[in-house]
Amino acid sequence: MKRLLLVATLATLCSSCAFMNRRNLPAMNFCREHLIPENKTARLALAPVTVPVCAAAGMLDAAVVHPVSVVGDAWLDTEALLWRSSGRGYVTECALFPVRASLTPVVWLIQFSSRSVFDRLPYPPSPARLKTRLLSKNRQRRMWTILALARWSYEGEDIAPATDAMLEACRVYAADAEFCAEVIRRLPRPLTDSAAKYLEGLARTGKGYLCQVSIWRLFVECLSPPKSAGQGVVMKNINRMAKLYEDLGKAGHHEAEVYIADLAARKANVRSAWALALYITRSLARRGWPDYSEAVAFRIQMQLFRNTNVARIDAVEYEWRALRLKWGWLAAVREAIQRQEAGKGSLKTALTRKQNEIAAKLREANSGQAAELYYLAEVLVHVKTLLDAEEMAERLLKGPRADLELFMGSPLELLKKKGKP
Amino acid sequence: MSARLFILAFLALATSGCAFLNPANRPLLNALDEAVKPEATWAKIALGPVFVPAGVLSAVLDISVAHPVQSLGFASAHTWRALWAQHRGPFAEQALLFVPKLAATPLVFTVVWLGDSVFDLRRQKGEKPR
Repeated sequence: MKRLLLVATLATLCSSCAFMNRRNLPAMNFCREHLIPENKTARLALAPVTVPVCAAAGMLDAAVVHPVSVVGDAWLDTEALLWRSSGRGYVTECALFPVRASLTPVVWLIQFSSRSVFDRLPYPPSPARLKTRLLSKNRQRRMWTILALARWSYEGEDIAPATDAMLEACRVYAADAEFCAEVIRRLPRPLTDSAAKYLEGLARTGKGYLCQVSIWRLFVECLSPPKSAGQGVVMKNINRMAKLYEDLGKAGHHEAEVYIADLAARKANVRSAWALALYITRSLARRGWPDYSEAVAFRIQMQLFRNTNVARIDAVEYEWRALRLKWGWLAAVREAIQRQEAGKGSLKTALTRKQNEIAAKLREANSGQAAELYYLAEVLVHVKTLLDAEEMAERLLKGPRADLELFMGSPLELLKKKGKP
Repeated sequence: MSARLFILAFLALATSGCAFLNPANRPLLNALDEAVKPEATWAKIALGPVFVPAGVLSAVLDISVAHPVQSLGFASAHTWRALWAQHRGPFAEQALLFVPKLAATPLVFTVVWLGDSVFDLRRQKGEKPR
């Protein structure tokens, strides 16, 4: 048992050793290519000569060739770690000079020995290397490769080839939803046109985990774009998202549509999401405020009213829905739905009577009774809110079950669940 | 003996580095940075033999003198706020607390002063920039 453990430990350690990677053994590769014949008999006959020669070449690689080849890289690492400008003035740089000079041999030695002994992964891998790894048949290797990346891992010229490699991996392993989702999450920023098109295609299916992740990834692109992207790119992304929202609504993919609205509601405190959130509000107003998205629409308006005056001015254009701009309304609807579902009946009649009573009292109030008037108005607003909630609950309970679920539940979960067989 | 001294010196440098990492705590070096701005590479190299020792000396003075002196005000203000500024409770209670407060004053002051000198407490408390 102990021996097995020892062997396993050694195997694990050696798996990351530099000499286990053939790229690090140029002399041995040369010998294998030029000394070993293809004919099996000749290979066996020459084995007594070729095996020791190849072994010696391998040892030469491990002891001399590979260490010499990493001298430059070790210096580059040391330079990046110690000698990058501090960004302060000349005298500060002068003061740092002795510290840097004294640490240089130590850091270089550590970098050199680690690079000589261990096969370090270059981060991020070159797009070509990324492609090989992402297309690997070994799922674990694919997952590790993608999980080590971030959306900002690639920059400049590397963005397009890295994106292409990732999209190809998604197409090849389309059945592996978990892997594809991780790839989509890490598609380099800014999204290339091909990536955006691919994500839109997935989003338009209107169901499933990948649809949800694609919508999320497209939405992220609308928020805080990378510095390299100009204002035009941001506007293009927001317009693309708005179009997608509209199309999903028209196609009847309400889960996906409400999920976009939910994302916009969550980020409606961020300036870059305002345009999309305002567009969604206008779109909902144009469609007569469909009940299934009312819980999210309410949240968007709450956030927008708090953050931008444009929403207040816009409200005049579509419809003033002051009653629904308070958290109590949403809670009241949920409570009314639960009560009506439990068969306890609607409070509509009682609330209408109460409303009429208060309205009559308000009309009768004498001049100078400011405090009483205010109290009555407050109660009236409260009663009107409850009445609106009762009516909303009734409509939702009479309508399709999916609409009720969308109102009550999380659009993210519903969208993911919809795709499951 | 020399090895222990080296370790102590290294530790002292490492810990003082915490406050030293904040440019606001390097007044001498900042002043020199403002005053000496050679543009040409040859000028930078030529001034090196003078400004490498000068820079190191300024850094050492910043760590050991200038920043601790800067921290005196913060430490005294903090001690005052923590122990003396608020008078809550009746006079008798305050009178009873007078002696313990008096005894705690140098202790609190020293801890805050050393803490700010070495670990840059103000930045950690979000009280920067100065």
